[in-house]
Amino acid sequence: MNELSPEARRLLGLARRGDDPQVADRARVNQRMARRFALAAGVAGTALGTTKAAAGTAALSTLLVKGIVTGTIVVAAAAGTWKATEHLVSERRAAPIGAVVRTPMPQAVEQQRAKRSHADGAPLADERAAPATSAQRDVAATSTQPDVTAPNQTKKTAARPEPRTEIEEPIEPSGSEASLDNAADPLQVEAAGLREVQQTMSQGQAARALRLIAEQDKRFGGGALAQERAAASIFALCSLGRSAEARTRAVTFETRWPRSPLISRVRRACDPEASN
Amino acid sequence: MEQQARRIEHDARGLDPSHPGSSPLDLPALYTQHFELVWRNLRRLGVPEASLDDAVQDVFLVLHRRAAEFLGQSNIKTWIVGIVLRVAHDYRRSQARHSARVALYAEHYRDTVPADCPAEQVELKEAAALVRQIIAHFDDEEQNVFVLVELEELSLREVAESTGLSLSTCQRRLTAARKAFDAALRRVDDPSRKRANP
Repeated sequence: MNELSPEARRLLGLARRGDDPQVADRARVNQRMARRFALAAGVAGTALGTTKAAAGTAALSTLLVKGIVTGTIVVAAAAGTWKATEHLVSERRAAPIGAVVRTPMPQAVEQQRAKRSHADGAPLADERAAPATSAQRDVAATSTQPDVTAPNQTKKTAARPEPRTEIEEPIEPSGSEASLDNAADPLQVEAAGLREVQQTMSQGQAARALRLIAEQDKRFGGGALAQERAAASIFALCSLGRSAEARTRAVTFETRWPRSPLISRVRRACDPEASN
Repeated sequence: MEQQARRIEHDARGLDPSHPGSSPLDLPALYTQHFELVWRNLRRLGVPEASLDDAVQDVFLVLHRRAAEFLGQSNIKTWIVGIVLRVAHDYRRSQARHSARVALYAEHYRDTVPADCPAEQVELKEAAALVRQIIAHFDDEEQNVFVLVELEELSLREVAESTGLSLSTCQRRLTAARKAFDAALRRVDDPSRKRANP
């Protein structure tokens, strides 16, 4: 076999250690990962309401938030780049598994929520947008995701339908949206809107969910969560028995976001037992 | 059979199968353990700096989606590397179609080593940047095999598993890539050769 020159060997020896991520890189990706999974879990919950898939994704996002974001706390604290960690950790400890999907938010919003939650006697168990950073604004924008398949994997197993089981969806205490309207981060407001859609769907009010989605589409236009709203609208239409309309929208969805992680759920929205 | 597959999988992952929280593939654990592997290889394989964050997330999203399919046929590292190769390929292809202006700007910005960076770190980063620059001109298969063998230090058998190529093909690609790398390095060291033989 052709061997490399000593100069090349030396250069490669150095290069091996030159591509590792920096602490800040890891912290940034950690936050975005947790957020992206959390949103996917939210929409998955809206999508199938009470499916194992939703449970799995919700549990996963919880694990990610608990695992990855907690990792972020350590990493970011070391880098001195992320505040509000102590608050976040204490809330995560208090919240039930499977219900906690949240990322840190501005202190003022936290205080309002804490007060309201205490008054309601309800646990803090919901999803919120992270503080405004340019890196986090596009966490839910999946239009650039390549659809990739690991080598040696078969379609057959990928297409296995997921059986339905009952799970409890985390429910946010009502009335939270107005307070979030005051938040500085537009993504927070948009995420709150999506969560309201999810709650409405979980309460069986698909028609109202559709109206909310239409209002939010008008309000946010092609916002960061346009894809999640589009998916939610398809699930709502299926719930209302408007399958033809849902399928038309599903085709549009697939054309617009061909590599979306939600695509398999969108495809079988009106027929959960169907394969991808 | 299923039990055996799970045991192999856990062996490969170095995780405790008896742990109550252990799912067939524990994504947070995978993420924690393999984040750096994914990051550095996406970078080496030519994913633009501006897209690295997204590409890393995509790899783990794919891992999540495909978790049920991992039955221990390969070890977890080569399975992840296989996904990294596909994601990197898609990003490179996407970059070729897309205007690279923003990516180039970000690349330039990120590759600028901070003034307070320790001298040793500067040397490592510059070496890595030079290697990336050279191998960016290799074809996909040569680049993949070279990165995995020479930088990630995988065995040829592992590379064959990750890439889906045969061992002999991996061997040929590696030989060709090494030859090209040495030649490119000589041109870098001797700019007159570069002018004479671009």
